[in-house]
Amino acid sequence: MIYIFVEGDTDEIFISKVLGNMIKSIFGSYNIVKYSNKKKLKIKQYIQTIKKMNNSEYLFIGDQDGNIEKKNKILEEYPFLDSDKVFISIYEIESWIIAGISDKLIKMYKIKAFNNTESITKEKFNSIKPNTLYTNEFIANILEEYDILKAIERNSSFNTLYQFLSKKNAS
Amino acid sequence: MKIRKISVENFKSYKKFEIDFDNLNYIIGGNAAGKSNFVSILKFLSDIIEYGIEDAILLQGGIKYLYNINSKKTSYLKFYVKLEFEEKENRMRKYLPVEKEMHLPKTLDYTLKIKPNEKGEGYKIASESIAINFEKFLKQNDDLKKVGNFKLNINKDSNGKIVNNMGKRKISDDYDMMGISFFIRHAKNEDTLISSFFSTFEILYLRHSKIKIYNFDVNLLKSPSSIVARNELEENGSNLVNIIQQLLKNKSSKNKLNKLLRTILPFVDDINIENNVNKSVFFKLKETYNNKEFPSYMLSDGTVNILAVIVALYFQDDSEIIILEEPERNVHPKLLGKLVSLLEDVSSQKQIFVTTHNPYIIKEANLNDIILVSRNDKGISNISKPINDEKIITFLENDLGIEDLFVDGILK
Repeated sequence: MIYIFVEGDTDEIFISKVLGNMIKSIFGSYNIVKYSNKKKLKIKQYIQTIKKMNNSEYLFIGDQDGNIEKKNKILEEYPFLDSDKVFISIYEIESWIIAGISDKLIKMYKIKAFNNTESITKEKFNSIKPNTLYTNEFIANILEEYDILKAIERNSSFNTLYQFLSKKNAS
Repeated sequence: MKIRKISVENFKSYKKFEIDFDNLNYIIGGNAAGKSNFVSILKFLSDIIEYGIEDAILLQGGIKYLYNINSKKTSYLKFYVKLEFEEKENRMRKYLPVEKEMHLPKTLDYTLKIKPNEKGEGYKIASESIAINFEKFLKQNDDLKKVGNFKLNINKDSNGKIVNNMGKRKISDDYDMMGISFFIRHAKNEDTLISSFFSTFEILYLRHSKIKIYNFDVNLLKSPSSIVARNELEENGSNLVNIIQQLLKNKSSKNKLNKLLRTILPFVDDINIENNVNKSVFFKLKETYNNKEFPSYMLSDGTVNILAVIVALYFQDDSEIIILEEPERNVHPKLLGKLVSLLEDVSSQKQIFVTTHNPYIIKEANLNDIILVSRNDKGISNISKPINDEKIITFLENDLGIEDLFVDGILK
């Protein structure tokens, strides 16, 4: 069992849709816990409990939001976290989402091709989105045919998480 | 009567489960997890007792909707229930002559196996079995003294052939064997063994075996009702006003209703009824704030819902088992603790099942009373008690609340 701490609903949707099957095959089952509205004490209680459990692990995923020291900031804010369990999405979760957009959708939506998504903020993501679609609709369409291989090429922070999981999968 | 255990196989979204029940049971789970299908299981039991097996299946939409959609039709639909009866329920205490003995049922285990036809939408009752533990009582003065036990087993096969464990033992019609003797003879003619049991033994018991399900519709609760209506609260609460009208005729019932209402809604001063010229009736609440009466259709949804819950819990004397679907609807979180205390209060006398996905109710509930309904990736519902889950206990020991685990999806 693994507990994955994410900021909000979009992160939850992304993790379960894109990495859910892989995580399940490695850890048996998983729980996603949203932490953005939680008090620090509550998160601490969760993490400390998981650490006490046999056969349970955790991951903590945060957005960089332009702060290159974000991982250290998180570790300062939540000193009970282990450094190797903390992963940062650069720039934010929308950057991971757009990184895996399929060639078919790029063509269909007439989106300008890109090789790197690490500077894609929420605002840029919305400007890429076709005006005819709502954000949730656009996200759902991307995740429906998410191209993981393209995503790891276009976003190194996503690649870091993916490689971590792949190593776990191999071991 | 209390339901102590249920197990089913291939029943609606459930593939297989077995679960024990206490007097108060909170059935929690997310949307579409299987809470309503769990209520269907209790309804199925109630309908078999009340209307017989054929109607019970029809009331579930037919075998097509009763049988688990993922199961192969070669499997059986199995239904098992364990019921427990309390000695205080029986009225033979009054009628049994002094120095006479009587067997009274203590527990009942009932199993029903239904085989759906592999083609078409028909089915066949494959088998039925009933095992009843009787306690033998001797009446001395006004007391009943337990003097022995007796276990009766009856099996019925797919051809309706009945076999019991009485062997060559003579079944007399004396006081001590009267009920058993009548039941064995009656079992041949009745639709199911369990309906036969109830139609025999309800003569000996107060008619307290009803299982009542309430799923209130707040718009119907507020609406005026026809002057003529059933004197039993409807599942959707549409005749609430008629029940209140009956209660208000009796001074002590009126006082009791007002007092109970005030425990949750202290601003309620009085409740009254008003007849319309069009032969309809509605209720009115007088508030302490301004001494004015407000008609039901102007009251808040939460106020009316609480009123309906109180009536269902405290004023439906013929119900021994009460199922309330989401009784917290429209009720402010601050009042939910008081609602839970009402449920706990009534559960000392009656068995209560409450379906909910409200974290405030879950927070106030006793962990022992919580039953979790969840659904896996294949759409199969499962049922379990969080108190038996080591992982959940570890979280709770580290100061996380059961409501946190529910909201965060750890309880699933």
